[in-house]
Amino acid sequence: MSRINWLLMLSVSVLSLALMSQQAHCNDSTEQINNDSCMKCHKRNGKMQGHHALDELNLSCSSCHGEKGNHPKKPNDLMVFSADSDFAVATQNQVCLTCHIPKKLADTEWTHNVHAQKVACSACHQLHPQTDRIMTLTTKQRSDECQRCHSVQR
Amino acid sequence: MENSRRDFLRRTCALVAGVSVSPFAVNGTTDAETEQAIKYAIIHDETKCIGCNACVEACRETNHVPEGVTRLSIEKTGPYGEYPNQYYHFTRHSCEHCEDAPCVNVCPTGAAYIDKQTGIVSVHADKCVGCQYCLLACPYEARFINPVTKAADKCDFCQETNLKQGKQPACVEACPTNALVFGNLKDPDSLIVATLKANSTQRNKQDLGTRPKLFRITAKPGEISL
Amino acid sequence: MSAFHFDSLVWHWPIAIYLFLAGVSAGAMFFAVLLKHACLKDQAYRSGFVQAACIVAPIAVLAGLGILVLDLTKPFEFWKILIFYNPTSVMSLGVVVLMIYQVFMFAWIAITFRKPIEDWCRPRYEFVTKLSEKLAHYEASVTGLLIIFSVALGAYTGFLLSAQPRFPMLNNPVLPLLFLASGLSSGAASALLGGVLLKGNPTGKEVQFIHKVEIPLILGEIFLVFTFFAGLILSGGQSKMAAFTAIGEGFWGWVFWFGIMGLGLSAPLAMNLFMTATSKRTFSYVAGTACLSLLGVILLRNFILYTGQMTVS
Repeated sequence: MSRINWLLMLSVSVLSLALMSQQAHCNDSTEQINNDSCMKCHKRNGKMQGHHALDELNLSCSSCHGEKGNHPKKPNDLMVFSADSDFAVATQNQVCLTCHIPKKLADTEWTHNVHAQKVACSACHQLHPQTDRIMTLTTKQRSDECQRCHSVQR
Repeated sequence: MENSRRDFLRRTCALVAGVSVSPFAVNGTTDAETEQAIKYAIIHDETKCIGCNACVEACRETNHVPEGVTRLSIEKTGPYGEYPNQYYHFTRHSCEHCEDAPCVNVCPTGAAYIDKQTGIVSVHADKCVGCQYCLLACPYEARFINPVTKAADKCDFCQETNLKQGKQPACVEACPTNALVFGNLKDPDSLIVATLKANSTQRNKQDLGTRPKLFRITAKPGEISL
Repeated sequence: MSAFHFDSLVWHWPIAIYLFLAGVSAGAMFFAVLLKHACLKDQAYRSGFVQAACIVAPIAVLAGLGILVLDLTKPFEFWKILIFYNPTSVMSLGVVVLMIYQVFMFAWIAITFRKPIEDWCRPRYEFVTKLSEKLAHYEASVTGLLIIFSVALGAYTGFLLSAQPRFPMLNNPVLPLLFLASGLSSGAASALLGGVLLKGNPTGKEVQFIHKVEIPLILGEIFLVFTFFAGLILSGGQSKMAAFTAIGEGFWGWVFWFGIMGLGLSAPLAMNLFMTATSKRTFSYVAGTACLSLLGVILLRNFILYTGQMTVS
């Protein structure tokens, strides 16, 4: 009898532990980056939600965008990731490559190799929203994505 | 006994003679071939292909090809070169519409056929019993069994879909870089004839005598292979 | 590359079993005819070996066809293969050969077993007697054509595979001859095995006769296997590759050297020579030798089918 009781207790506790850890996982903590001093002014830009916001990564806005320096006055040295950025593609991508290794990128997705010097990472990847759209494409959407740049007049 | 044996020999000889002459009677069809006005072919310009698979998706949609099988695929080899200056090769893998098609030669029911008007190699799905002799015979591994119809299936240049509506095959229409050129080899003013005249092209496994009609404009070699 | 699963594999083992059974049927009929005409004459129907051959042949060919039909992706539409013909297709020609072969096979069996059939039917069905009388009138023609079509069927099992320009190992002119020879020896083996099981005398003149034919047949097979692979290797290129992939190291290499060359050809040859030299023939010797021959032929069909599809040109 006592053994059964004991087993019951154990299974209940294991179950609750599992549930709790699940809970914890759902609330991926992004507090650190969203309490960054930058957010004092940049609240209107919305929260930083993507994978890169996770506290475990220990990133701040400046990790990618650089130190505040002259900002918000112009000219300043803040890194801007966009098509109309003043920074060269290679300079923009160098920021990503401080953590990401080309070999690994190539292994997960062959298109990384051929675009490495021609396109900014930000042309396809979006880091601020919860999900990065490029990671969830269907095969059809994926080929449409290629055609945004690769198409010729008939 | 002696008599019936002689009789048997005589009849057998007659039979053998009859069978051996019959192929000459079949040869009469070559006249019709010379009058053929259309001979469709396709060029895959590998220097323009970017491996986006738009052709594959378009083919699937247009011809209602079930998931898990495909009439067309783009095979990728590489990367060649050193990071960050790397590139890949893309090769089209589909029916090559042979002039002398092994699949048609081996098909026991005549379900696999070459269309006399257009030179397109195709399948009568209802005549096919699914012996898979054609899958075995095809040197280009272009055929598969359609899980819905249970018949052998393959690229037919959209014979039943786009071509009927006067359009180009789905893959050609979908290609964003114009890497595919489809047309009639018998028409001297067609784009395909002009492209073939202007470029050096290759065809796969020509030594087998299949005379395929998928022409490749090949990209620069990625490596030296002996 | 695993032995039974690889990219270029289309036809699986049921085809090999079908090729084996068609060969057994053709060979069994071939030897039944030889036994009747070369040593038994009118008493053929009394021999357990002829009886066995005449039971094995129809069952084997029908079972083979059954397997073939079940292996189609549309088994219920197999009748289309009997209605639509393509003169350039080896398979289509094979269907014709199979059909005609079966007609002559049953006709010959009816003629050979005319006496027991008539004895059984006489009081009740008079027309059977008349029919068999008419049939017996054509015995010479039926026998001749049966021999031609059984040889054609045996060779067809090889032609079916050799009509494949894509596979250099299958696309080999020796293959039909090899399959014919091995089909005939499997027919002889099945007649011997069935015969001794049907209480045929293992020291009888039928066994002596078949063994006498089998020795040169096996030697011929070994020579054909040698020519088959020598031809491939001397052709160079992909043919050479195909030969080395097949008989080199690995699962199928073992099957070839140990199973086919050892158990399937050398062992029966040695046993046949031993039995002929000492004229010691017992049930177990004859049955054992026959079983080894049959095993060798099954292995050969599977070996050629699978390794043939491994290397493409």
